[in-house]
Amino acid sequence: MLFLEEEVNVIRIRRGPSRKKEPEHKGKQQTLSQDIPLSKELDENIKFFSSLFQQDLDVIFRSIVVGKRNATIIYIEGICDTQKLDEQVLGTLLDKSKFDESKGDFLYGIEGELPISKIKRISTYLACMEDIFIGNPVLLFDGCKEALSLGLAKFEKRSIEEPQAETAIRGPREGFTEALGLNISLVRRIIKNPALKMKTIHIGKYTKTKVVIFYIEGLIDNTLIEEIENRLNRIKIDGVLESGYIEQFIEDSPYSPFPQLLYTERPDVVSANLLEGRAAIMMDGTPFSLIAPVSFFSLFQSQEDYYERFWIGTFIRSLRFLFLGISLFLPSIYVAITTFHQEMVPSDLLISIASSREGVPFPAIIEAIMMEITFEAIREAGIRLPKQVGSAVSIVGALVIGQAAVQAGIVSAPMIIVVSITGIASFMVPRYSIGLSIRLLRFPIIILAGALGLIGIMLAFILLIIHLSELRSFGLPYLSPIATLQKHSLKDTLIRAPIWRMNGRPHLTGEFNAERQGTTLKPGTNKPRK
Amino acid sequence: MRMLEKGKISNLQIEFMMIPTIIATGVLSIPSMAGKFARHDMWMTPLFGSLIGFLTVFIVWKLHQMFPKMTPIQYSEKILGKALGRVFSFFLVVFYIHNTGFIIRQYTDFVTANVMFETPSIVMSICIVVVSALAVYRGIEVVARSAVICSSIFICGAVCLLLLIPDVEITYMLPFLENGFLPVLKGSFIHSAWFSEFFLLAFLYPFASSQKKGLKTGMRGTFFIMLFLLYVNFFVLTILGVSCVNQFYPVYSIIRGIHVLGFFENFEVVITAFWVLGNFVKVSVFLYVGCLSLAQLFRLSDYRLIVFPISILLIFFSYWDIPNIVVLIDYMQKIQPFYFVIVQTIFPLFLLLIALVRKKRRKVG
Repeated sequence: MLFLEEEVNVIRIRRGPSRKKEPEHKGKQQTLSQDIPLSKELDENIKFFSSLFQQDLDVIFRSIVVGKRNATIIYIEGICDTQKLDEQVLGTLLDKSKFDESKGDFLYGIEGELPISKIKRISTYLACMEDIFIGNPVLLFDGCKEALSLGLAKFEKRSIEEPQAETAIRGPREGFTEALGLNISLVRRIIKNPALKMKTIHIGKYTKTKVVIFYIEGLIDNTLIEEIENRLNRIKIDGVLESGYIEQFIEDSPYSPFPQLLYTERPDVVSANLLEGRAAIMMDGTPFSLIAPVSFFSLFQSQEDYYERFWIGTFIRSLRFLFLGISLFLPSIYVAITTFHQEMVPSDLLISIASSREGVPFPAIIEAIMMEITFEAIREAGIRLPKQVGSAVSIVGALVIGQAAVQAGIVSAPMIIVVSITGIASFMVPRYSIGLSIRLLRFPIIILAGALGLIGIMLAFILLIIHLSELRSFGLPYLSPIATLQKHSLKDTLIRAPIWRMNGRPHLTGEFNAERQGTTLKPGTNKPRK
Repeated sequence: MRMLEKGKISNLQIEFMMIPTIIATGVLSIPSMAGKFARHDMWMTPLFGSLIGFLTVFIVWKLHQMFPKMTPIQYSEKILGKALGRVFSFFLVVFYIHNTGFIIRQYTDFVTANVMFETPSIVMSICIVVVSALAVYRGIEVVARSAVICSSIFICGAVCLLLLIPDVEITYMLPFLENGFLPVLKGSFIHSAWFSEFFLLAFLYPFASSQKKGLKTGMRGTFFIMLFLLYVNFFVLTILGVSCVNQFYPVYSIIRGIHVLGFFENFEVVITAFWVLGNFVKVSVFLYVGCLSLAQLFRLSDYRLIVFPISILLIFFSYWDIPNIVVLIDYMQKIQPFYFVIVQTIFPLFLLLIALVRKKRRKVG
């Protein structure tokens, strides 16, 4: 094709930054951002677009004659449905007999003939550009000031799979994918109500990523939606590649080690949160959507707590908090006891600990920090390495660092036990993000324990509590409802009350639509309904 | 009047703040001090000691109703007039800052004597002051929220006393009222010093989200503390007997004595660690009250400015004029009950009376 003529590029070795090129680059950006209306002349329009897409191999210009007019279809190969374009659009347009110029509006006639559900008129260069990049072929006609954008965008996407980061034994097995439209449809399929609303924002100067705020009208505080919208609109960056980018721009306290938004790739989790009056932020290009606002305790809720019977849910949840304590404090308690408070340990246990520590050349605090760092390294290596090498890491980790280190007398066996229990404990947390902050906080606590014993651990605990009390997630106190003592929300924190008892929605940003269900839902109660 | 603090706390949170504020240091040596007077009848001293607590809560509540949204610093000026009111307020500020110094001293003395033998005591006082100052600096909401969690853990620690049930010797409680009622009252008066600290409620009521339930909050708190001290005193008396009077920290001694199943033993360090949480709440509340009242007295725009300077002062106060624990115990036994009850119960009572008379006069006039 004419437009794909390639120039022979001479590669020049540049010394230092070239100053000439920048204004040129800027100039192009400026023309893009200006909203110039399309010209009536097809040639002029083509000229503009061909200069814009000069070297882009994948942009296809296809000239045709419709009726008596010249027309051109511009599209990007690979992100639009070429088969449909060929069969339905070209097939219809090239069938010359059908079009009658005399009947009023030409474009209207075309629109009427094309068997495509999503079709719209656009009139500026910028709009054309955007549509072409989304994947919608743009149809330009000679003598028309408007163009048609054909909704044929289609790109290769992953099929729905089981979520990788949040597996469940009982519960739906489908997870979000990278395609936003598909994700929205997954939520829509669960909540079939017109109150499910969304607001769309495009973020990223270059990526123009579609970000959607999802909420249920009537359940959510409108100020929250406004706040989220404001914070999203503040983001002015080149590109958004993952929802993590957004998360870091809209947090309340950016320096806190704790996650102030929850991310999930499960449609059922998103729906449950929407039903509790929270908002979900979903974006194109990642399976992870964000939930706001969250509290510390909601990060310890797993969808399965609700799917299993409430005894099990309560038991597993309290287990989780127990192991939160263990994963945060166990190594530091070990350090504190072996360094300062030996008398605390029952004598038999003390003797066995002392004998195993006998030949170890390091003080307990050094030993603990060393082993914890090693464990973190093994864990991290296990995630990043290709699967074939992964087994090698685990062998090295288990045998060399575990068994051999103890036998060589470098590390004591109790330390290995402590580190492994801590490791297991940190996997108990259902949300990966809060697990990360626990891993991070373990080290300063070990140091404080090494300096001040159990008192040091308590000081660390107090500091942690102070920080958590101060923290807010979109205005919601992070430690609510425990530290703010909202009685009816306590049913769903450390314990998980029976579903027929959780009659109110959790108290979020104001007592907003608090009633969730009737009060006579307990099985077996046959009270007459009033 | 301008509010220096914009936070709001719930009434239940106030309760959670007040409970460790009274018992954190009280639980240390009250039993032995009260036992010196009441001997075998030491267990019932909290019952009568708490009367001062109920009275103080009632006075504070009446004052709060007459001057809602105001702290004593602000309404004492209205009641006593500008000059006298300010003198009284200044006295209160000094009283609380000085008293906070004593609390810190009690804390460091206890920790260095029982848990961290080799750590210099100054490290301990700096640690607790810094932690509390950080909480106070972030406002009353943060103090309240952290108090809820810390107090719950602190109070849960008291459950361990139940492990002592096998060792309980009820006969230590006999003979009943051997020397008549007067020694019991004397022993109760030791408690009064701690119960009169309920005057701190006057500084917390203005920030309560529900202004109507304040009286119930205070009374319930006092009642809970009475029960708690009763519980502790009972175990101290029935396990150590009258010999508990020779101990500085009788509660700590009985916790040391726990031996159950050959495994639950020697966890006094853990209980001490829990107690640190309670002490943190106590120091935070006192520091908060001290800073807020000083800021109100001098019409500062923000009390946060003076939190850290006052914290440094507190560390000095904790060493100033207290050579050792014997002097401290002596002070707590002989001076503190009178001093505290006069400042925190009698003075407010006078304030209330004057306010009532003035109100009546205004109505008549």
